[in-house]
Amino acid sequence: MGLGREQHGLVLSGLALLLVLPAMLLAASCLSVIGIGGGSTSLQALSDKVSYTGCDIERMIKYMENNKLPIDNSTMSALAENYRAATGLLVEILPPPHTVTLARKKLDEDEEFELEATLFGFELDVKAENEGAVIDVELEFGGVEKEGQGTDFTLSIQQDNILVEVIVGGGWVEVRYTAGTGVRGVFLRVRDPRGAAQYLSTVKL
Amino acid sequence: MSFQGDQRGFIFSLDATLAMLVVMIVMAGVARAAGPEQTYGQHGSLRLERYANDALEVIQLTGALDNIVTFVKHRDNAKAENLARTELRKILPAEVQFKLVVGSENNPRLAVYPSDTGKRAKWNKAWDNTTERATATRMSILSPSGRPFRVLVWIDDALDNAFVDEVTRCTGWEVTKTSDETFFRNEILRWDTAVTPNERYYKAVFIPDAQRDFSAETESGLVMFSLYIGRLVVGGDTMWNDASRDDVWWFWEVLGVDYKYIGRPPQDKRHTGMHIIDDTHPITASPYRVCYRVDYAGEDYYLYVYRPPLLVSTQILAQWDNGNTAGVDPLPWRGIIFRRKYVEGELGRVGTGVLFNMRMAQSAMGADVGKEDWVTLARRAIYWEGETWQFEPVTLYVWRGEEAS
Repeated sequence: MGLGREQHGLVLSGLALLLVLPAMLLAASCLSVIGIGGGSTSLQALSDKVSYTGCDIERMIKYMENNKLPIDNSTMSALAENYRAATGLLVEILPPPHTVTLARKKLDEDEEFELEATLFGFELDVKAENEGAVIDVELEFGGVEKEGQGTDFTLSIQQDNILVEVIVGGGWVEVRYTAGTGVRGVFLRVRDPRGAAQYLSTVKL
Repeated sequence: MSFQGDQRGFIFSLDATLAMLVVMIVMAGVARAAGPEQTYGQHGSLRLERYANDALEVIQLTGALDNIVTFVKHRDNAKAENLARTELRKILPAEVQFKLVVGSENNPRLAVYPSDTGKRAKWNKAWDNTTERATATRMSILSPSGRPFRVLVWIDDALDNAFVDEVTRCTGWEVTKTSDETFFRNEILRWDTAVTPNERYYKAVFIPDAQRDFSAETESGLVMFSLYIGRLVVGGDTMWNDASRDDVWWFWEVLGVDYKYIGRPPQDKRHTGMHIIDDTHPITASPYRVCYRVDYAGEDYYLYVYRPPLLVSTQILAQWDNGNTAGVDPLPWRGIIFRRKYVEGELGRVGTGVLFNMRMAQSAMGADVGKEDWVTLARRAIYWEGETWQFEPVTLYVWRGEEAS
């Protein structure tokens, strides 16, 4: 349709369009950069808080050990509750015996999962991969290695009084460990409620 | 005007101008979103958080925080304030103000601002008005807020006195020591009239090693205390010296001992250690563990043979490795006996008893054998289990602003 003489309007030429498009792209990128920057700053602040809290709990446990204060269930619960109230973080402090789920994840096809941790001086390394309907697991704990493959199975290794289990079932992989009564140490985990930052440690006594 | 063939240039048309206008508006919007205020909002608050955490970390590493908490424990708030103010002022920049709180925010034991207490109202106002604060928290161990932990102690020799000093050192407890039995008897059931409703003054009574036979009235007071009011902790020769009368059998029973059965084996070099057999109780909990050996100067000091009564709820926390003791008691001799609550206490209090079957003060202070362990075990035994170890936060708030004038 052609424009008549009495019909006024603007024609957005190719040149103008080319000017506007990069500007729009630039603006979108800038906004995205700002968003990421803000997120990383708040994550940094959060991880600082989690880390400082974890270190302070370790200091407290060492202090209690040095001063022979009782490191029992009720005292540790009271300590965890105080940290929870003061920081707003999720805090677990567990003297033995205890069982803890270190990680639990549903693996989609071809998805991989890896966990490394140190439990009372023993190195733990778990690798899992969903290969079709079968999950392939490699477990190493305290220098001992085990491998397993299937849809529904459990791998376990015991060192001293610490039992590590990798439980596979229904596409889920769960890494769990149990510290028996003979273990001389305390497990502690500090997390933010959204799970963005975590401090996991075991304090040997 | 018309352009000739050799006159070249750009024609900036109206639509290009409008496009540029749109571009300028978008760019200005982005520039504003990423402007210094936004950048400060992100990085300034992060820096403030780090000021707070680093400052608290520094005063902790230098030991200043421990000293501040110790002053608070001893209710010497003026010294605690001065120390906190001096240390934090040294660390934080002048444009950063702070508030250090020991205890809960609603009922703090100590609150310190950058300048003296004469300006507290102004600081409170500045604190209320600040919109951006950063917080750092550490935990400390204090005795229950505002309620002193009072202990009545019987001492009748220098070793007992030295031992009690070690046990109560840096605890913040209020300790009343006496060797006058009349005063001791009157104090056991004393009321604290300063609180409403009135309650008993002492939370624990400690007799490390009484070298006398207490009167029936004193023992009756101790029984009342141990049943209805608080923790009675007894050690050394006390029970042996009180074994002469049959009419005070309940004094034995509240400490978890069968009054019909007491023995005194000969001093023997074999009996030089006591072993923890139950590490689930707060007195012998971690870092102690089952089989942990506590050294004892057994060749110099007696221990006794006590048998727990059948009808009283007791828990044996430690025992002597006495080997073959035919003719005395075939079972291992009890080292630490804990008698649980078995009747309802007065005004919500809990009455319990702990018996140490050894002369721990003498072993610890006279022979310097197992000192650290005996002090720890006695300290834990005295501390009222209804008031478990109290943790209180130390919180540092920082914000940017001028000093209150």
